[in-house]
Amino acid sequence: MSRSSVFIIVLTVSILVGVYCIMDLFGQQALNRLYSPRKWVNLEGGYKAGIQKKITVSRPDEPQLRVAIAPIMSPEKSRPLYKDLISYMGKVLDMTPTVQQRSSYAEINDLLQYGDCDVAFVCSYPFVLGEREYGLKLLVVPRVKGKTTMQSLIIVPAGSSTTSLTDLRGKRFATCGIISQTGWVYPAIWLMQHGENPNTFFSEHVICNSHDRALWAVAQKLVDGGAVQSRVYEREIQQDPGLAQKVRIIMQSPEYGIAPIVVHPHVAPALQEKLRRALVSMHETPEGMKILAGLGIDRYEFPDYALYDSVRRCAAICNPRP
Amino acid sequence: MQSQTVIFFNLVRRLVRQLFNRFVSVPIFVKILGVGMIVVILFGAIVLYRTRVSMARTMYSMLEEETNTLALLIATELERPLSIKDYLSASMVLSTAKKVYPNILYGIVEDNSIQVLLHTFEGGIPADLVGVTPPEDTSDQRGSLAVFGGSGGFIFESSIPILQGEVGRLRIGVSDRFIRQELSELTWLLLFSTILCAVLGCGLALILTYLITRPINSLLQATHKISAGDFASRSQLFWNDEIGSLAVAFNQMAENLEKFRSEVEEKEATRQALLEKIIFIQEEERRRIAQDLHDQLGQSLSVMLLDIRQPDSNGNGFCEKHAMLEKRIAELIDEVRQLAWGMHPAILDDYGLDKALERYIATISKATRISIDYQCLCSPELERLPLRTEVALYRIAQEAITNIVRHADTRHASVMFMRNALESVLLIEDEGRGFEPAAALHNDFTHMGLIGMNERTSMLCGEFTVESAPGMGTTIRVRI
Repeated sequence: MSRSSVFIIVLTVSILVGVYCIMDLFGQQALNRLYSPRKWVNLEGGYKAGIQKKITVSRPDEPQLRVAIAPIMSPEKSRPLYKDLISYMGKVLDMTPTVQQRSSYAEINDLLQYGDCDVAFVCSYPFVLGEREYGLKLLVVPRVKGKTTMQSLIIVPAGSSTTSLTDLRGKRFATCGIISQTGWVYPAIWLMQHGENPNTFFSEHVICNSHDRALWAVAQKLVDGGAVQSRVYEREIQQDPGLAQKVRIIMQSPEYGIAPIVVHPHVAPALQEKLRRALVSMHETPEGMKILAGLGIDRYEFPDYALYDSVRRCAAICNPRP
Repeated sequence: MQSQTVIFFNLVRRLVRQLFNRFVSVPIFVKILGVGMIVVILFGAIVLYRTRVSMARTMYSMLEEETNTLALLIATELERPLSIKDYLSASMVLSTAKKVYPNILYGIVEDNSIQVLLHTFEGGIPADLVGVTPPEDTSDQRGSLAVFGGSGGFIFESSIPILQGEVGRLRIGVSDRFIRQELSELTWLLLFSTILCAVLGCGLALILTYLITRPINSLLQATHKISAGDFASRSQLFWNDEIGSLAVAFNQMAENLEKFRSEVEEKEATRQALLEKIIFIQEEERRRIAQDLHDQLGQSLSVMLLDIRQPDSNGNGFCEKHAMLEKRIAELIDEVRQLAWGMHPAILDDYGLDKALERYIATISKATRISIDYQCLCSPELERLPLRTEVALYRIAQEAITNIVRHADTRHASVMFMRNALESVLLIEDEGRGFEPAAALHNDFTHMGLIGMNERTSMLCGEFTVESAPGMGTTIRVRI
């Protein structure tokens, strides 16, 4: 092969390799042009030590209304649900509301007992216990669909052949928690009345820490049965109508006093009264109406302590005074 | 300025033309290889570019979706622990997500006042990531995406409110390194494929070149042989393609050429024989006429001259008229001898070419005003050349000198005769006006002298060359 041919080959290959490299470079540039970064970040250095201490939004001298929400529904669902109502309460009292949530009724009761919160959304059974132990007060009682009562619903998966609570012997049973009137107290007392020991009747008592999770556990057939609060059940069915196809109600309890809003006895009576009146008259204002509609509540009413007598009787059975 | 532009453009045009000529003048192998290389590498380059861009767009689009989905999933997982202030569980959710999905660079949970609650950095949160304002529209349950530039590429940060912003927001940073890695692997794959194709192309180019050039080379060799006079040479037939058809046609042409050549050679041989015979007869005829002129006419005239010189019976003496006749007859005898010598110099037969040429040149020099030098360089021990050869050389010299006298318009010329055991060379030179030898030799019949010299030389299987140019004199060389 002549020198000229070698030269031509080398030249051609060089040009083509150049073209190849240029195309590759164009590809790289096209890649980098896909985005224009908002800022340049160095993840390797410039660390700030540890988690920064949270700075409280409110001023320390500003009066605060500490509101606790018991996990009747899951905390992540309860928080947005009660958000507007809690803001409303803070606005009425001209106080900054702070929300506290815990994973169980017992923890919320502890908060109330040790004065770590002023107002709480609790179940009726914890209220009765708190009332008995440290004089917990009712603030208001909600009226839902014309009623200020609720029921415990014993549910099983839709395909289950279970027709009674007694059929669930040796099965797995899901509830909200031990100190829940509609979750555990009613089925426990029913079993006791039928000569059973509720502590050994089920093979496993699955505590779900909220009624909606207990309902979900039954619907997913993770358990063989469960007890849920009728208000939560209705709300969940309303949110997800398909859920009704997955569960079947086999028993309903008598009516019990509805889950109230309670207030710690140390809260100034004037403040209690101011808040109570504001809540009771909520339905008279458009803002209040909207908030109540979001919660599915007709209105708030002045408390009727007699409403919880049946619950108190249950407490006397399940948690007799020492 | 304009002329400079024109010069520049002409220069460029010339350069381009030269480059183009060099490109198209390369061997077939280089051409085929070049085409293969161009196709393979250009294809590879275009595919590389298009694939990279297209794949990058698709993968980045997927990464955006993935980042937002991841953020949504992790935010959902964080809702419960954060709402009950279970920071340990929340931190575990974050670190588990980072562990499970290695492309997550970091996870940060901030409260609504942009204070960091949790993060996944071991030492502390980098300063560049602190104080990044959340997107304005936080009502969207899907994450809002921001792109940061990092040392290893882009960082896609999805910012999503947790529990509708009640407990803060989650920021998940995802690296694009796997995309870059994939694209890099793709680039290498394509590069490797291109090189492989190029190597295969080289092999195919070699095979194709062999297939194409083998019959062409065979044709070329046959052409060279035929050019050299080997009319029996034929091209080898390889494949029945266009070049195969060409080879068949070439071989047919070579066969016809061989046939024609044979016919021409036969005719040429006949012509040569005929010409030789004619010249032989001509020389014989000249010799005979010269002999007759010398022996008969010359003798008769001599007798006549003697008769005139003797007084007659009547006693009449030698009168003035007799003297005039005597002079006239003596001149006539001289002319006859000259004529006989011109027809065929007897000296050539008797004393050889050297003496004949010497005598002839002396005669011509005397008769004309041209000075002709003559030189003979012959070994004395060598035998005389055959008479036929000597006659031919003599005639060639005679014709050449006649041409010098007639056309050269010169006063000086030289003749040299050299001879050794191997060859004899006759060289005739003049300093005259010269002519165009190629035109003269191949012209019509106006230069019969030169053609005759050539023919005589070729009959002796010699080499006849004429070197001349207008105004530069003429050199005629005969080598036998």
